[in-house]
Amino acid sequence: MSTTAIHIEGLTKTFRRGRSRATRAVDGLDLHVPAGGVFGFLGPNGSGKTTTIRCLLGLVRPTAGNLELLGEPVPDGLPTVIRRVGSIVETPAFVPTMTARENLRLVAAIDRIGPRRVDALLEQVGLGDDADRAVRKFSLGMRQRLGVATALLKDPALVVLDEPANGLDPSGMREIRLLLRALGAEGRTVFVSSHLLGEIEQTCDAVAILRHGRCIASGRVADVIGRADAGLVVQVGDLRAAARVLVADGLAVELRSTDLHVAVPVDQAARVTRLLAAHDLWVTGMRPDHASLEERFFELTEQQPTATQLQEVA
Amino acid sequence: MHLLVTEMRRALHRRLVWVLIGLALVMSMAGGLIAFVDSAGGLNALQLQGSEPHPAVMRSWWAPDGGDGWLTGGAFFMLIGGMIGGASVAGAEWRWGTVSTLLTWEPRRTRLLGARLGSAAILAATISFALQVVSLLLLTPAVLTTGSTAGTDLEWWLGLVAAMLRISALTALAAVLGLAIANLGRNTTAALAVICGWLLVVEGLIRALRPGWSTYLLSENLAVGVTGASLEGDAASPTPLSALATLVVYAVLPVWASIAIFQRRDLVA
Repeated sequence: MSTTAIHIEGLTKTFRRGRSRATRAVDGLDLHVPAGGVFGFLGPNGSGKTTTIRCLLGLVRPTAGNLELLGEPVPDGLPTVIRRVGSIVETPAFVPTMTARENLRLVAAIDRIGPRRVDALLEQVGLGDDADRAVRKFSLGMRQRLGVATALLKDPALVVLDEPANGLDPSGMREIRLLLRALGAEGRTVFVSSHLLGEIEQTCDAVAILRHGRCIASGRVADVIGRADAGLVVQVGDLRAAARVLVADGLAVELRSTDLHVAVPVDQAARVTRLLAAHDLWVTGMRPDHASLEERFFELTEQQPTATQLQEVA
Repeated sequence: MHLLVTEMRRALHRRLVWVLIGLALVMSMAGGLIAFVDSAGGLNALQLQGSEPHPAVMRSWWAPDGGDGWLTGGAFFMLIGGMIGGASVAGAEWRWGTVSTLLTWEPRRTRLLGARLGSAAILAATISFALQVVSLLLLTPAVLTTGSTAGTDLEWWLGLVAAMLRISALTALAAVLGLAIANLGRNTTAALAVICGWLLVVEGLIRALRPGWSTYLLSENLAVGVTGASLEGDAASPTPLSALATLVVYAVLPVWASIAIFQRRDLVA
């Protein structure tokens, strides 16, 4: 079994419109997604996430670059590997006149998947009661759930989900989050693109952030956020006195309006509390000072103009 | 095989397909009723001999010499229905956006489109044959009560079945044409406009300006295909064999173009 779920090297996709105009949606993207766990694929609108996913699934032909899914080259190896890959791309599309159950049974028949699995998945995604309703009467959230069920029909080793929480209410989002975690815990690889950074932070083991069709950061969530050396936020009655004590002990301290930022590893929190207590300064609050993924995301993606990078190629 | 069956099931979920079948059944019932009512007062000698076609006279169902018969007239509607049905199957899948979903299950595009074309051809031929049988069955009350079965020997029956099979095959070809062109344009209406434009405008102009080329026109060759004989009084009319060859070319070209473009097309929505 391959230890790499997705490998992308130098992926470029240029869409040509007419003779002279072209837009580059992905620009030399390199990405490595290890097998197992949940991997978040982030980026602002137009950063190339969906195009990358479409290239991976053979829906869009890359202009340049090499892609591999579960060790098989794309697109040549897709017929072999597609049976181990479940996916939804953007808003899942179904035959609107058919019921949810009929839609699922129809695609399941392509891979000779039986009706029992279809019924079980409809229950799993919470559509058991609506399984015999025509899909045209479904809300966006219900379609999304049906899309997730379609993606899981094959019992896939790799699940590729493009905005799976799109249109879901908070409880639906929570269910998807739990489902993604469960899938990752089962040893599957879940590759999920989303705008919901809070959800991604809670769900994913690792992330990659795209900007202008290129990967600008990737790795474990904590590493991407830079959590390890971010320091501590300390709240104490007399901030100035506390700052003097800590600085005198050789610590770098930033005095802020309501708290202190102490540049010290989180595991040295006891040193700070002891030091302050020794000077009759009692800590009223303390927490690790880490940026959220959202803050880090905006920091990374807004370093340059945020307008969708669709390069005009003459 | 699974893909073929799946595609057939998808096609049968098109409401338009059932509307077309329903229309054909209504027209057949109306035909049966009119034949019964019209023949109730008695048929004249020419009608009973089959010289003047009447659906209550069995020999009028199909004219072995290539003349007009009940089936020949019905074939026109079959071909139109097949074309609309085929175009609708492809156009709807593009409109719904389900082509992308299917490709995440079967990424071999030629195989997918091949299954779709095959399923359309099989369904169109089967439905066409079944509707012809129903249509003729609905005429039998008139034939058995007030009409005639005279002159219907084994040779005639074999000719009738051959004509029904030819019409079924041509309906399949019409469905394949409609589907291939709709797949090229990703739209049902555009495909039907192209086909109608070709048949009515382009072929009309060719017929008027270059009568000698009419041998190669789709409508001429379809007519020969339906009757199984060269058109009476038309020196440029193709023979059944050359009509078959021309119709194959007419089917292959759009299918080839459709597959070639589908292979290269980026599915971005």
